[in-house]
Amino acid sequence: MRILYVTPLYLPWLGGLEVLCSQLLDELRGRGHEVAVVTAVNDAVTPRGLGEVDGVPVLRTDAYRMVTWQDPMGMLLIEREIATFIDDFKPDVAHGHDGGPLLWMYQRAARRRWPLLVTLHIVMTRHFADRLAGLAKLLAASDWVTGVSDDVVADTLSYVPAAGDRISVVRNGALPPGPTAGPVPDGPARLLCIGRLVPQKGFDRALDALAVVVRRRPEVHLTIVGVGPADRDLTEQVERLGLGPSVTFAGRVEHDEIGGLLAESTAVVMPSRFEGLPIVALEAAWMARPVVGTDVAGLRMAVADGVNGLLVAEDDREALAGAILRLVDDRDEARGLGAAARARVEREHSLAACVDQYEAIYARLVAEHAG
Amino acid sequence: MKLNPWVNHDRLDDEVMVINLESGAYFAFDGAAADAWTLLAAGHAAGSVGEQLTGRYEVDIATVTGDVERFAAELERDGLLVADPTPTPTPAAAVTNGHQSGPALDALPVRLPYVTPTIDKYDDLQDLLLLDPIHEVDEGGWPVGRQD
Repeated sequence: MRILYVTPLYLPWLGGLEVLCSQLLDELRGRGHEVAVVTAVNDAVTPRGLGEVDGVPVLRTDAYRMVTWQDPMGMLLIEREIATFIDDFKPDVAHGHDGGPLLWMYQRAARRRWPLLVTLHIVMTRHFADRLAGLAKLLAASDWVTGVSDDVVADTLSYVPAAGDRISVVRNGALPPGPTAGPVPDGPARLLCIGRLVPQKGFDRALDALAVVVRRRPEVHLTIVGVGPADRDLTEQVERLGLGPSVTFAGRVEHDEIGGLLAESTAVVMPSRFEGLPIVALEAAWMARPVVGTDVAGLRMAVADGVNGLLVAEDDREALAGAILRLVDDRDEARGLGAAARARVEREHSLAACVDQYEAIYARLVAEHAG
Repeated sequence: MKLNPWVNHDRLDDEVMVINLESGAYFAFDGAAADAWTLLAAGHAAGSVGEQLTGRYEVDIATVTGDVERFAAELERDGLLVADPTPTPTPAAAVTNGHQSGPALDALPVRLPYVTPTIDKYDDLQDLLLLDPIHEVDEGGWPVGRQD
């Protein structure tokens, strides 16, 4: 089968969506499928046009910027660029990830010549409740919709009820990010935040909680891995809270280094404002590390409070600090939660199982389209 | 009717993209709708547009003129065209009095199947921008790490 991914973010950028897409594509190629990617860029450094990442043809377009700049000729040219690329690749099925201008342009370029599956990765209504009409239209023009968790599907049905007969859950899967790790180590506690530096991830909350934690356990250290537009705000927050010696900004880290960082950690802190089913939580679980996070839709699909991690109410700095201190002080509990997380991810979130489900949807959509 | 000055539009082959900068709405036209838009935006009257479309599409003049009048009324409702207080010039007159009237469309050797011009409107693309995770990526770009 020839499978086209349409995703706003792709390698070399590193984030959950990028890691998930690249792992899904690797697995699909391993099963004999041909794959290609249409993606977008929004920076001044990434080359536009056709390239290749790990042997996968990748078309990088300026879709986002042309819509932002309200440039009609730019939009027409990108639509033409996408049409030329997919005419050449001749996909049997297209798989869009999240809905944005790129998916809109793909739909215009493809003109329904191939079946389209759209996967939604986050709970939208939490912060975008009054801005979902456009997304609802994109989903209405697709052949099937999946959500990466039950929370995402329930959320989607709240703004596209008509999708009820063509939507399903395909839970995210992930590969272990490194060799099998030992149990949570003793010694000075090391906390990790991993992800794009954006308000959604709530790393500002992690810093607020850390300020409480280090009053009692000054040896605790937090490493923030990732880059993004909130970088400056977080840096200023660290200075304001006097947390300089307790925080390291690691910036961009190659994905193959994530396993090692997790192995050295005591816990992963995820104070997100909303999620879908975060890959970071699955990768932490593969490395037998507990997550301390907020009890928000999407994250609670990966973390069960007191079973494989700890969840606290949003915007409760003291509660988040308390949960962190609980694992800092009781490594046996941290080890127990980590082991449970590992058992659960093995059981419920293997990449192979995830690809099995997508493969079955692709085959059905292709058959229906041919019929 | 004339083009609202707050409208940005371009044509590539048989596709037109139009943006109403006041409302933020995007419009896409193909085929006969793209041709009708091109002529209406250039200042042609509905009757003239209808005549030219009959040279390109398999449609009779009465049908197409009615369709173009309805299409133009919709374009006006969406603020893409506005009433023109000055008399609409013929293309020939336009040259002499300085009106910006675009060229007529060529008749085609073989007329194309006709599809009634309709408006494909997207008034929520700006919202889609916000939902897209790429909007959080700044000009420096994702692969660019911290400078310190």
